Amino acid sequence: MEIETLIYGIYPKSEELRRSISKYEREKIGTPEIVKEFEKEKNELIERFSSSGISYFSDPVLNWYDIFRPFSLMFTGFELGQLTRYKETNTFYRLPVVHDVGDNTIRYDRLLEGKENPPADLFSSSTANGHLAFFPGVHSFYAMSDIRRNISEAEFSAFVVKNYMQIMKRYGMRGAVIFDPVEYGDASLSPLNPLIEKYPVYLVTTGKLSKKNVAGLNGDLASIISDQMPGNIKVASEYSRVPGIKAIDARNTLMESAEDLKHRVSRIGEDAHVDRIIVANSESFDFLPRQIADRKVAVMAELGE
Amino acid sequence: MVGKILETQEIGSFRKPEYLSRKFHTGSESEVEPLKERATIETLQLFKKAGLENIGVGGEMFRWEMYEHFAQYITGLKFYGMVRSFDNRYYKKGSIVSELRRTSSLHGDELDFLLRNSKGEIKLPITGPYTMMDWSFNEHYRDRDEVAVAFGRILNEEIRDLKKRWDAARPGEKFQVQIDEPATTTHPAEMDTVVESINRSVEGIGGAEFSLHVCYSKDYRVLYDRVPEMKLQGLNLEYANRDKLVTGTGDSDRPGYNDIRYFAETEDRKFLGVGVTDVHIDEIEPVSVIEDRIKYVLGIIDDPERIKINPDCGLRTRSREIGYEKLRNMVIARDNVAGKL
Repeated sequence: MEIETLIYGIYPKSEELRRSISKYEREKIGTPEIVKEFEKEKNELIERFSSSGISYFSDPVLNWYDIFRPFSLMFTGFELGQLTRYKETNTFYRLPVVHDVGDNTIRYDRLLEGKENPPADLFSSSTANGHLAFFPGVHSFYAMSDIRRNISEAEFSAFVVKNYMQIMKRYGMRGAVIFDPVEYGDASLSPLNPLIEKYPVYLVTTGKLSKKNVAGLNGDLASIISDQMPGNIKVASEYSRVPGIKAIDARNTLMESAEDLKHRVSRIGEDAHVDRIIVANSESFDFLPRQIADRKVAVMAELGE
Repeated sequence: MVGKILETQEIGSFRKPEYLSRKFHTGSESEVEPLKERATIETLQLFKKAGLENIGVGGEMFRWEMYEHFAQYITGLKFYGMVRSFDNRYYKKGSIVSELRRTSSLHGDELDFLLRNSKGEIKLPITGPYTMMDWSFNEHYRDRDEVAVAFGRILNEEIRDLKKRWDAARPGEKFQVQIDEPATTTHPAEMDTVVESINRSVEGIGGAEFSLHVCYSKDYRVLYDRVPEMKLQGLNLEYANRDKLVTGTGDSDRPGYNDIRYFAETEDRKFLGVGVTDVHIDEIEPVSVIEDRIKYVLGIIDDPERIKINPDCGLRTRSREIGYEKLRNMVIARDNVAGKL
């Protein structure tokens, strides 16, 4: 059984970077300095993920205050709403407020304004192997937003995916992780087709996955990474090139053992009759202290050896 | 039953004076203790000047933060680092690595000081067991329920300890404890755990008035449904944050308070402390708006002895000046309404 690894989402910042952001907020340092610090730490992380043998990893997006924030700032017709609880956690995000989905002009300059989000580019320009873009899934984006006009999920999704395509091109990204923190229910993933047709897409899902969700896809995803629930791995192996499971708990400091995980993941793979499987974190590592996230990444690196 | 009508109270925290916050973590114990005492006295005086009937513990000057303070007095918790809450705001989230045990009293020194220096009614806020569980990582216990009950056992020890001190200083007077549980309705499927751990916290302690403080819940109905099972005398809840800043006593004027009708439908007769001033905005709500909020609530619960009047939550996020003005307007509004009953 070949085990590959994937890290996605917002990675916790170092203590030094956290302090620098405070200094930036108090206007003790300026935009060029903080942008430089973000770039430095992002590049260090990318180098560490890559050199330790992590197979795939999304940009660490250290400068994103939440998974929707940059898009609420950049997308025409979107704005930031109130602070809202992120699912059943003690973490909060700014509710995207969507007024219109008619204009695909992306205001990249707003990322460097430093208002409501520290200034830095969306993704690092790294060319390291395994480095991927990161986007919130359109289904979750719609479900976790305040949609002001009568905008359907289909209209919203088509608009957002078109913007994601523009972003992929602008940053020269070679593939993307799409993370849906909300379960699909009966929703179809077909709005992702333009992206899937052009790029390798690693889709991280939440909860129960059904054929109904993936039946409308034009082609295979690079991977569908799902929660360990009955039936999920079967759907993932039928509709993606390599199925994946969330096996590294990003909501608890308890450390996984690489040996135990290897046995467990191999058994899951054998039961699903697959010879390759991807192991990923269950959520952004940003829910953990940095020290623990680093240790969990080290366990993931051992898994891939 | 409360016995007083529309009794005014605070909820817990209040902004620390600069001289205390600057030294809280950096000063030596002998340096910081007198500052805590001075700040407590000053805040108690400020609460009295605002006209509050229940002056609480003087703004929690002995505590830095509700989770961290509790954690300091127990073993079994380990801190690996800070965890982000939102933006660049972080909090200390402990990991439970062994059995939780109380090492010494969490609030004994604060209560002893208050008993020596305050004569008014006191309501002691204490962080609740469910919130302590929800805000911790668990590496030791079987499940979340077991963790919450373990915290409940610690709380029960603490409350017994505090009650002994109270009874020794003020025999026969009402001992009041407010259990702070902001996480209560975060996981609606865990309401059994909420009820069990709160009841474990107060188990076997007679002669006391227990209330529950919850704030920023998405849906209080999850809580109202279970209120009759909780061994408490009342609830102190946030409402103003979800209300409009306009006058009027119609349902559409007071969206923040509409769901109190569900509370009124519950079988028992617990009191309700109603948040009438928003602690998240600097704007000082006009007396007329607060009056209408109180009148609207009285239109649903037609028993002013079952209603207390308070801010939504602790006022520590506002400046001391704004905090005072908010409390003052709250008291004036309450007096205006009570005078006409």
